[in-house]
Amino acid sequence: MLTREIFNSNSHRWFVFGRDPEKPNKIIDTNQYMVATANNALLMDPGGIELFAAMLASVVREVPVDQITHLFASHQDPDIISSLGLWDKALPNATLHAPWLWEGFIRHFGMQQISYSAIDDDGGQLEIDGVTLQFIPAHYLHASGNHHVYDPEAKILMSGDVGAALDHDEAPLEINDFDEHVKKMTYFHQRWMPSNKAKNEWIERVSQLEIEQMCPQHGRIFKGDQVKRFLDWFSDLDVGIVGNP
Amino acid sequence: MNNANHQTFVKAAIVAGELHQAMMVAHKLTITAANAKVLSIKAGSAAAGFGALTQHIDELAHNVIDISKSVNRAAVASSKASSEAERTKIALTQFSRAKQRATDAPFVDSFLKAYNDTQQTLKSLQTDYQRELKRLQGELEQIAGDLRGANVLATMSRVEATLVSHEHASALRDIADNVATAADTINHHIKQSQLCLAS
Ligand SMILES: [Fe+2]
Ligand SMILES: [Fe+2]
Repeated sequence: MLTREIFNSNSHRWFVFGRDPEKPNKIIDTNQYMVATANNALLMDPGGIELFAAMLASVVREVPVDQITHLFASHQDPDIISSLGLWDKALPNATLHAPWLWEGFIRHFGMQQISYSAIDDDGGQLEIDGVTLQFIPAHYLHASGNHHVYDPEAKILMSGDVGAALDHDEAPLEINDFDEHVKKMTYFHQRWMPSNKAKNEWIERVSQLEIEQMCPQHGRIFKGDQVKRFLDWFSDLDVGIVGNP
Repeated sequence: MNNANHQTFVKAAIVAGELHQAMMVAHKLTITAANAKVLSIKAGSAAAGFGALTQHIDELAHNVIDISKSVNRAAVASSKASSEAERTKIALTQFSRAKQRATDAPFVDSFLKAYNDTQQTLKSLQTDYQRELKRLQGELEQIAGDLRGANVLATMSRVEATLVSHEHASALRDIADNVATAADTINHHIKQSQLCLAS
């Protein structure tokens, strides 16, 4: 599985994991993210059961597993968090941060050791070894309870399914041609995102943030100008349409 | 029924289902016993022997119900423990896969404790469900033993039925037949359970 460090400062590092060549066919490719601070780490949208072994192997290249004290699930989907029952056996002291709305559902993946820290509808923040991370509400994008993670120091927004693209399995992490990339995002956003109102509120909210990298759970990372271009494109897009892929 | 390839938790669930069926039949048997009692009173002194038998039929039915409940609890407990064991096995497989893929990773040793703990958990879950399975088998044998008495009861009921007046004899014979059929049905479910566990 590919691992890339996408940010590095004195206080913390960001990693993206993905493009696992051993991933079984027919399961959607996902990007997993991790913030490693001095003595702890936060694993964001750690992925599905099928990916667990590859993820665990990749993570222990960067940090000892007992330093993973925090998990984050943007929402309840299986590609986001169905590996929870396995992480539960690997991480006896971790806390899962996830929307309050999904607690009763996410627990179905099995959690006996990990504790659930419910994120309010308004979002919240998490401080790990002096690094502050913000939970940004993204409800109905696409799940009815949904948050993203913003790091004001790294200027990174982990944007869950927003900005996702249905790309081939060996696609690079960077977007070389924005117009080409749009073709891979249109159907996904129209079909999976249910509400124009929610979409516009989210655009309004994240437009206030300084973002150098926007990191979706599927597809490629938006950098610099591409973030603004994405927001403009998304703003013009009508969502909640069945249509054809 | 071919259960040879079923996991323990599936087998235990099948046994729980069989026992549930057996219990339903036993419930009906308690009603048969109550009817028999009324009839034997109507039939007068000639049916005194039959009346005494109804008491035994009722006891047998209640025994089957009680043990069925207990077997059901054991079946559910072992099904639960063995399905948890299966899930734990999946975790162990995933851990060893991760280990193979991370042989050169600097912190590969950091999840060995979790790996060992999970192995321990698996062992204790396996002990749990094996203990419950033993209990299950013991109790199934107990019901099977009780049912051998049921056939004797049915035969005796038939004999007693011949002693009463013609007017009541056929009703009492029907009851004796009911007892025999119920015993056979319950027996069938017990046998199926025992076969399922032995496969
Ligand atoms: Fe999703
Ligand atoms: Fe997703």
